[in-house]
Amino acid sequence: MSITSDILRGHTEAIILANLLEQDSYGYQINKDIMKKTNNTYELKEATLYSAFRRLEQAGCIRTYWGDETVGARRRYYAITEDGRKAYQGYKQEWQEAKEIIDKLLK
Amino acid sequence: MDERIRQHFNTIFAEAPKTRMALDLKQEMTQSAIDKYNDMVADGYSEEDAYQNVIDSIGDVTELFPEVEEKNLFALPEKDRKKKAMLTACAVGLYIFAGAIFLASGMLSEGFGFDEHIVMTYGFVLAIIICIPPTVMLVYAANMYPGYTKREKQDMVDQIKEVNHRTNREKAVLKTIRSLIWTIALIIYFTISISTFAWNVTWIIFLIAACVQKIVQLIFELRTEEKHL
Repeated sequence: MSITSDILRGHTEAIILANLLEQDSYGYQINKDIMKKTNNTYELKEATLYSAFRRLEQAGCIRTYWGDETVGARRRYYAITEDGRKAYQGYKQEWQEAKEIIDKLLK
Repeated sequence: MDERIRQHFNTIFAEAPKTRMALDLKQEMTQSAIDKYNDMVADGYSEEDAYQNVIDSIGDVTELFPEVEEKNLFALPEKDRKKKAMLTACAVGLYIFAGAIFLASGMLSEGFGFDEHIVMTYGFVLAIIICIPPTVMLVYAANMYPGYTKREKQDMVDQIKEVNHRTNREKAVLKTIRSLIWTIALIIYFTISISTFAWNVTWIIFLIAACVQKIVQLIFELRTEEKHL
């Protein structure tokens, strides 16, 4: 499982962008969705997740805003930007190509 | 248990840079951990197990520290920095151009034999008008930086930061309006003076401009007071 974690870690940003394609979300919700989609086999460490958020924000792929919660502490929401959508398409394509190459080489 | 989780985050963030971003991040991660803990307990895990799981899934926060350093002048995103540099350069260029126009008008009048004073005044007015775009550009460039305050304290700072940010914006707008008022005053002054030659009277326009500026400032302050109430 540790090898898989390392491999997947490099794709954290694409995974987050994929999650934000449909709707805005916040940290914990995103992690929960990922766990659900992978049937609890994959969970991102908080540090990894938030590190990816910062990088995505720096690159202009996502933007953040504070939610106006009526109860509890206010939350930081993330939304994907146009640049982010383009970057995501790029990621997906590169991943497809990489997948094909590796599948060919690892018979 | 919330408190225990909070304490844990305080500990692991002890060595973090003391910036607003770091504080926000710590809060966000803490809240996320608390949400997770509550979910697990609701799912039937014991408090201790849930707590341990939450703590274990944090990972290494030190890798986040470089990313929450305070953004200073040199850390402006590359794109914005180039834009600001270009704006400033163009603004200076335009100012020089305005000066050149003024001088050229003087030489032109001699060359064509027109009355030197009239042509030069037209040249002066034209130069002033050319000065409007660069002034606007400079004000815009100066306002491009985020309104972060240097002193980082506690949660209250958030409100103060917003107020500062807003007043910075308002100050910039006020400054632009002020330079516009004075530029227009100059133009009016010269136009009227040239046509009526009553130079000994028209200087009163500047007093009027000062009044107008004060009025605008007053309106601004009243409006912002209303907003804050």
